[in-house]
Amino acid sequence: MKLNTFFKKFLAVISLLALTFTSANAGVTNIIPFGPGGESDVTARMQQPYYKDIYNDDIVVQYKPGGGGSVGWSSLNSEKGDGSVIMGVNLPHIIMQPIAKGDKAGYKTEDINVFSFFHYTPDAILVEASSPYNSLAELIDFAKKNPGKLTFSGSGTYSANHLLTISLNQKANIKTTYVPFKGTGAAVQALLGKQVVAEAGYSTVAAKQGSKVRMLAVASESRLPAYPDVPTFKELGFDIVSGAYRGYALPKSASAATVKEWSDRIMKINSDPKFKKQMEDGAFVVVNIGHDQIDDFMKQQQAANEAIAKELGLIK
Amino acid sequence: MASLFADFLSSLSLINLGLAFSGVLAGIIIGALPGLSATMAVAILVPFTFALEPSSGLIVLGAIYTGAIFGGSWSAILINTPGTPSAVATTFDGYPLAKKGDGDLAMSISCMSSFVGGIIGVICLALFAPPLASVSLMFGPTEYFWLALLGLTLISTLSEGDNIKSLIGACIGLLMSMIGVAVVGGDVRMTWNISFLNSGIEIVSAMIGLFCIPVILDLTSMKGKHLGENETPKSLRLKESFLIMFAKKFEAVRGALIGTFVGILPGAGGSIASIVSYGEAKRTSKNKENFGKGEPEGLIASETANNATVGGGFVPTLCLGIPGTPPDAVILGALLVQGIRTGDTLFTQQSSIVYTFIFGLLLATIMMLPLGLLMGRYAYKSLLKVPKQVLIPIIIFLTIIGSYSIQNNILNVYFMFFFGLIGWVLNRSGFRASPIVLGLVLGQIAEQGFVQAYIIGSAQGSVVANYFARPISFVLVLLIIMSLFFPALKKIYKKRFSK
Amino acid sequence: MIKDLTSFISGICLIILSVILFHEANQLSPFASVFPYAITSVLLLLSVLLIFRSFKIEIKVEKENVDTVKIFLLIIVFFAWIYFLERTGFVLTSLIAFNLLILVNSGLSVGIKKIALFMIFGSIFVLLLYFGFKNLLLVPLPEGLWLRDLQN
Repeated sequence: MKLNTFFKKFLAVISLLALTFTSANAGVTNIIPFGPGGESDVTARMQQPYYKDIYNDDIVVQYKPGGGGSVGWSSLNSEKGDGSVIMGVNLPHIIMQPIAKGDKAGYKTEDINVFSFFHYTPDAILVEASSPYNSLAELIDFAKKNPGKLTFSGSGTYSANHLLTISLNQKANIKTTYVPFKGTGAAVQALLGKQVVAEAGYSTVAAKQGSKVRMLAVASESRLPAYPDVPTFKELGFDIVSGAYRGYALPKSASAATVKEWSDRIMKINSDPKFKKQMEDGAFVVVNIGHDQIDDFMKQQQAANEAIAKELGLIK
Repeated sequence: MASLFADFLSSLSLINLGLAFSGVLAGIIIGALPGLSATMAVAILVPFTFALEPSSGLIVLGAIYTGAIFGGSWSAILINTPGTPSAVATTFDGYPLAKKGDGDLAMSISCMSSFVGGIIGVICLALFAPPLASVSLMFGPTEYFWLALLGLTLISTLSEGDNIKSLIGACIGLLMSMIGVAVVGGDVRMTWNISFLNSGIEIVSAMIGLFCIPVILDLTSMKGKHLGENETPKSLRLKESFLIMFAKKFEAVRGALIGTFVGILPGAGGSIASIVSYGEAKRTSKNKENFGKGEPEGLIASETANNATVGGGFVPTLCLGIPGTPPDAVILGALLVQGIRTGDTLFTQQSSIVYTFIFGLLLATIMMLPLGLLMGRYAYKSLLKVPKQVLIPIIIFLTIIGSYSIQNNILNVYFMFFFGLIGWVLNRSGFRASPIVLGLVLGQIAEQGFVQAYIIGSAQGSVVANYFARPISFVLVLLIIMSLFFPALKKIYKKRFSK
Repeated sequence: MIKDLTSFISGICLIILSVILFHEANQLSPFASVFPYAITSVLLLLSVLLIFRSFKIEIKVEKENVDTVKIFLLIIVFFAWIYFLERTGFVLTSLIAFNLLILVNSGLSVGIKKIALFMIFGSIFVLLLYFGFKNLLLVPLPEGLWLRDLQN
């Protein structure tokens, strides 16, 4: 009996020591303010192997979901500012949330020390493969003849998907019905199940669903390399260039040197042609907005989003 | 056919076997710790799978997933805390069994049930994935609404004699599910400016609070041991468990089928499956009164269903690219990073990946049986030996570290704590936790389905038609009416005819 | 007069809750207010029924006698544990709180030798789990802001 308990104690101590010495925390932490499996997560994981190659260090992805990202963003500035922690940020979220929710958002746009955006997923209109509509024009035609009957599925209310339908309504002078769902998965499900006529989603939906859906138009500046047959909204006469931008931020306490260093790192990964191809195959559009362009870019985006918010009546 | 055999062989490769084994092992342990869910377990392991072959990566993720769903039953049985949300219905009869002294029986039955459920789920996945995927697409907002309502009618079966308080509990649960940003409308509801509540009540910390804290408080304040002990020790009562399982084989299969079916519906997960299966078992059982007091049938119903959602959940995940359950969302992300496209091409062009994975999952589930029985025996014995004075701090410690790990946020720990206090007060006032949890779990699905169906219906011209004039909805409505009025009708019938 | 006091009090509390919720629901957009109104109405109805029922019958709730001192101490230490987690760091707080709880639960009925034994094994357990979560599961457990400030 005595030997037994001694042995157990011994084992416990050994395993304790073993645990301390294994994987003693090296690496940098990338906090994703969403749950695992989403676009922010996927692109962060795509970066991991390239970062390891170039900088011989690990990016450890952690999740801090909640409030559509606001839980993470409101806690950003309490993290260490020495460059060991970065956080994923999304546009239009970090601009729209404080506007739409005011204090309830938990942070202000200016509090977020963004240093780069490395890709965006343009908005897109998609229909299911067996749908009779082969072009955006046909869809709009249907809407004109049947006001309100064109149903779009999308994720959330006042989200990028929702705003896309509002923009389209205004620019094409039609009346459609937007049906919000919880998350892109549910919106896609409704599309595939033919519960709705079309989906207001992102280009990544087309990448994931392949031949099950047809992308009718994409809200990028120019056609996507992986989808050369899909026209842009601009080409079709609608000035809609929008989508969700994703990038990273550091805590406010980070020094200018740290900011520059991280911005360069992210841009370096972006410049790797294999990384670019991987992203493009997933219908992500790589952009190189580094720390030196951030201020202007954010100003631009702020103005654009405020205009939309005014139209929606979110701000007076 | 030849290729199938080749896939089977590759699933038996040393690497894959090792992965399946270690996956199940790790999964069981992680699932048993409250606060660590299957989703988290899978998410942690994803980066390591990038160095592996896609099918091997899938195998280890699937193994962890199924192990975790089973592991969740351990803390459900031993400390009345669902280790994963999917084990919530396991607490209803698992814990009472343990308190009576039949904990070892419960652990064995749970293992065997998880095994049966897991196997049936995987078999359905292997044989019927594409048709099942089409069925899942037929479920639109209307169907989800009626399904959630059908689930809510289970409240009447869950109530232990105090119907009013059970209904109130369900209402409270439903109201709690509305906290946060409304999907339709965008309003931020009932958060009282606490941004933490913006995404709603976090279900895992809520469950830990509601189920575990009252147990701890009762343990502290009252005399007596935590779990009863049985006079016949040693053998984990394998033979007895097996006989029970065999006697209830029909119930076990039914639970597994319910679980598989709920699994193929995206957005419904193990928790809903186990609750629906439990309610159904109670409704049709001859031992109704024993449910909630330690009825093996209830345990079987819950554990077969939740493990079946593993296989079932992969149906929409692999065929449609839409995650069936939260862990599937993580797995989908991992597949995307590896450049694997889900959908028909997966089953035709890349079928070897899928079938190797399916065989591997099957093997992992098979391994879960002996592993689970052995480890379960060890866990149970160890728990019994721990004196109350140390057990209580240990459980409290687990709740703290567990609820913190959910979102790496201390607020979850506070939330769990206060929720627990509320739960304890509710308990002492006669309100049980199960209807509240039922409302919480089903509320969002019911509301979203209702409102979305309304929007679509009015866009199409007829709201009423959209709610009722759909084949599946019609069947569901009939089921609801039956389950609501059948018991009452039966009573009247009996009275009339016994005169 | 009132046969079931617990139910009566619960009923009153629930009615107050329903009123508050109705007020909240008033400020919501049409779609987002459907369910809140509907469920709150049901809740109100049920609460009234509960109050009426509390005059007629009592449905007994099983209650054993409670050691209030122990519970009170437990709740205090539990809360303090959570409160100090981010301030004094996970390891320190947990070790102290864990052992305190052992004391609380042992009360006066357990000998010192046994208590010491519990504390040793317990602390090993705490440390094991701490390192397991931190290094294996990569969970960033709180380091302790106060300790960080002391270092600076």
